[in-house]
Amino acid sequence: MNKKFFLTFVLIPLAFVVIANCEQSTNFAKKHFTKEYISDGQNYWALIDNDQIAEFTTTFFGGSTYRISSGTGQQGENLIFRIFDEEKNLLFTNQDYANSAYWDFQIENTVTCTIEAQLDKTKQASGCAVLMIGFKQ
Amino acid sequence: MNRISTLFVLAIALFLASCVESNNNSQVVQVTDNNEGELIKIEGKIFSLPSPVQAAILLRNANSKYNENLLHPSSKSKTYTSNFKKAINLGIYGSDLAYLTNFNSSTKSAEYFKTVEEIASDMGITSSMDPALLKRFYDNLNNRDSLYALNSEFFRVANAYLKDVNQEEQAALILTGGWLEALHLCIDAAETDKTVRRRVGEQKASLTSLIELLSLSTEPSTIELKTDLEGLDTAYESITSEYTYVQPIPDPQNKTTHIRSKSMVEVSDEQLKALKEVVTTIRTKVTA
Repeated sequence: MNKKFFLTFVLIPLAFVVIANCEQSTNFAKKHFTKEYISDGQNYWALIDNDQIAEFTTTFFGGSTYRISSGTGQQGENLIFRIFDEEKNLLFTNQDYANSAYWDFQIENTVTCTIEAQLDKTKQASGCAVLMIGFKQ
Repeated sequence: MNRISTLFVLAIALFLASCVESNNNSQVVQVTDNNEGELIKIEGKIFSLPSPVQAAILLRNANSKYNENLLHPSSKSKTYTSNFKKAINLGIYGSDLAYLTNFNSSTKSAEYFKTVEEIASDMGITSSMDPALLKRFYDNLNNRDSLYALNSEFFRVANAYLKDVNQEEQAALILTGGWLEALHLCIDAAETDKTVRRRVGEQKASLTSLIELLSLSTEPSTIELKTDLEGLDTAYESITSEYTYVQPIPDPQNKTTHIRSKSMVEVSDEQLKALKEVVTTIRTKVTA
């Protein structure tokens, strides 16, 4: 394929699709951030396909309530997220609740957690997965 | 040019994601204890650090007294010329702004928001922002709850923009500055408040993430900062913590789960003093 053609008609349009997809995912995830929740000021996103899991570590501080909200395009229920503690005990998965697009966590004592996100392959094959974390004032 | 290169990277990422088998991708690591998929670390680019606004709220709840000497003077902002200094000090001023919000000082908050806005503008960040966000800030200078939220939103949008234009390092430095300043403010209050002291002790995991995040850089200033943070990590090594798993209690009706695990971290006066010394040294260096 001609390089210029590939660049003009394949790569650049594809990139715009990706950016638009990530923006859509973020906007969807933001919908569940009601006024009482403050964003942690970061964006957690990854381009994943149906066999991949994105992972990151975070600390939930004791005495706080957090909300995790998800989005893939205009859907939240297409993303499965799981939260493990430092000993790899599963603390939560939204898979138990029809892939709920958001969930709140009341934290008694500080826990360092690993959060994994994966597309529900029965619903979506690939896309931009976004998670947002907020805390209650 | 940056945006074009970002478009290429994103396009190629999507192209690869859709065309290449996952097990041929060098970024993908197999997870032995999860047979449902493969773990993608995305070159370690997903990181999470505690919010400086949350630290400010902790200080508010601890009735921490206002101490202007703890703040980084806004007048210093004009002296920063390198991207490194601009980014890290943007984070520092953002934390100071969150701290000032605790004390309902609209004049001082306006001064620090102006500083944040100027540095962000200089870095090309504010051009991507909805002007309404900036206006809302000035309109809500007397509304503490709104200011916390707007501060977080400002830095979330900045974080998204810098990642969009492939300036991950600048985004990381802003987070670093914010985290460092929040720790500096908390260490001062931790001398008299047990809850804040505990929170200071609980920063070890965040520091580990931060060091990992900065390890991606090849910039000399960032590498030097990473080395300094490794010194802080050494100071944290003597602080012991305990963790005991307790089964969480789900409350599906309210879409809430109660995480009941127990954890404990204790920081002695000597350990706090050691942390303070290292944090002060690093802060002095990056704000010079």
